[in-house]
Amino acid sequence: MIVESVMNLFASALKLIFGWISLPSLPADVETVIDQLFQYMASGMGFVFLFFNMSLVKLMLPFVLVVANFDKVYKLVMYVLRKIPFLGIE
Amino acid sequence: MKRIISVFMACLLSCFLVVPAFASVATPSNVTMVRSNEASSSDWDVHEAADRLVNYASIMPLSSVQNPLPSFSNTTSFQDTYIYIRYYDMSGNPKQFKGSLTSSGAFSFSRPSDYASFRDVMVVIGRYGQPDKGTYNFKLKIAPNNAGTDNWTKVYYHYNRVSQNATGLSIGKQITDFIQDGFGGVYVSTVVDVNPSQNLTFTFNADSFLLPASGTWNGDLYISFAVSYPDTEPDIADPFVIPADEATAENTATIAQNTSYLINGMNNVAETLEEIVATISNQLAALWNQMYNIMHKEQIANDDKNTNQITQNATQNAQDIIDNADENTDEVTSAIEDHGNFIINGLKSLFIPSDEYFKEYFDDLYEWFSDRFGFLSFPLDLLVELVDLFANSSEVDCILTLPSFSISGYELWEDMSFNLTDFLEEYFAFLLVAIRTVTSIYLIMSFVHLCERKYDEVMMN
Repeated sequence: MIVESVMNLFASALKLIFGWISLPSLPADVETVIDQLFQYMASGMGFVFLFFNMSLVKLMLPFVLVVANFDKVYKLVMYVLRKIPFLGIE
Repeated sequence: MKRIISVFMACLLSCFLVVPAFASVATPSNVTMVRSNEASSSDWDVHEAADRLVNYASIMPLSSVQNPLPSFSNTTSFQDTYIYIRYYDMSGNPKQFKGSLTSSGAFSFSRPSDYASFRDVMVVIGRYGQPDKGTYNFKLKIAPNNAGTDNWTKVYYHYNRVSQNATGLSIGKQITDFIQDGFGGVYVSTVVDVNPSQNLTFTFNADSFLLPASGTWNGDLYISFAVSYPDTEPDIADPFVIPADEATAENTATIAQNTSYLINGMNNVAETLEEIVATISNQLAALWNQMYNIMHKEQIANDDKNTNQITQNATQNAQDIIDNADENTDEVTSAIEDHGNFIINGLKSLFIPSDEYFKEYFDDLYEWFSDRFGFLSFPLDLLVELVDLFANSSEVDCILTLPSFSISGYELWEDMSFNLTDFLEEYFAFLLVAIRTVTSIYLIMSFVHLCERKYDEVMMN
């Protein structure tokens, strides 16, 4: 109840802040072209993943993201650990 | 020379054999017939020859018997009854041999080969040849067809085994009033206490007994057991035949027997009375038990009924208490659970939103921002669609589409599509599996290489 209240309060604040904005939507032709593009991309992805094990790819994707950004993750973790005095990490 | 010696010995032997033979024939009663146990073996042949001659002479018919023995009928079939002649052999050892005895009492003896001298005649009545336990007037008579002796000297009877004294002669209770006819016949009448677990044995001693060397010593054996009536044999009841002193003696014996019968009868009556008293006592005890049960039947039934009712009530009360305790326990447990669940659910609902809340919350925000920001929200839509495209790519088939083609308004072919995924999985499934396996290995190796490179990049810096 408390969390819901806080989140509702936050949503109400957002709506209060951005309530005066009213922009027009994207033209329908542009949306049609983009939808067609995404349709072709979906077919291309289907062709690509004929030759890959999709379960393995989905499993490895989070690890690949973490490892690829390992330097940033490492810095973040070390930054947090240095803030703990009794660990004595410099 | 040998012939002369042989003839001389033959003549000498003939003289020894013929002279005693003529003497025995002339006066058979004067011949010494007893063979002592101390007889030497050196003069045995001479005495044996003399005995044989005497035996031949003593075998004679009994038609001339002048003192007939009392007659009576057999009361036994001579089952388990035996007759023996006990004798000394040529070495002086006591022996006995059993004569044949028929069911009618006819006995017969053949002379054994080692027979030397006579000891006695023994009649044994076993347990199956005796009547029931009690006191009986017993009669026994030996009536031989050919005389073995003219004078029976002693008669004994015994219970169970036959006892013997130091000289080998039988001992027991002596019967002095036996009757004999002088030609081997003998009659015994006495009172015996029959106990079928014991043998009843009679022995007849004689100073001399002539057992035929050839042929048999045979005759008839008579045995009678009489229980409750006095002996009514005519030789005892007829006062004109029997002398006065013998009649008196027999009357005395009869009185003694009657007295014995009376005592025996009184004992039987006493035993019967004891049995009757014991039976009456048992019956009274049983009757008392029955009367007690009848008199207290209603009370016992009421006691049983009350006991059952008390037991049933106690059981029911205990069950009720147990049910109430269970019910209370369930209520308390349920109340505690309800309170606990209430607190937990309250805390949970206080801090944790419901599962549908977030979805509704973000959908509402997304829709609101899409309405407000218009074309600016389009990149966000693209990102969401791209994520959906990647997440659902395994469910999307590879469809090759050939668009329609027309020239000057004339359509050469229509729009055509081909599902490559279905085609490959139907006809080249093994090829797809192999390719996916190789690519999976390649991805893993690439991931490992990425890990190594990143480790070097971070740690070696």
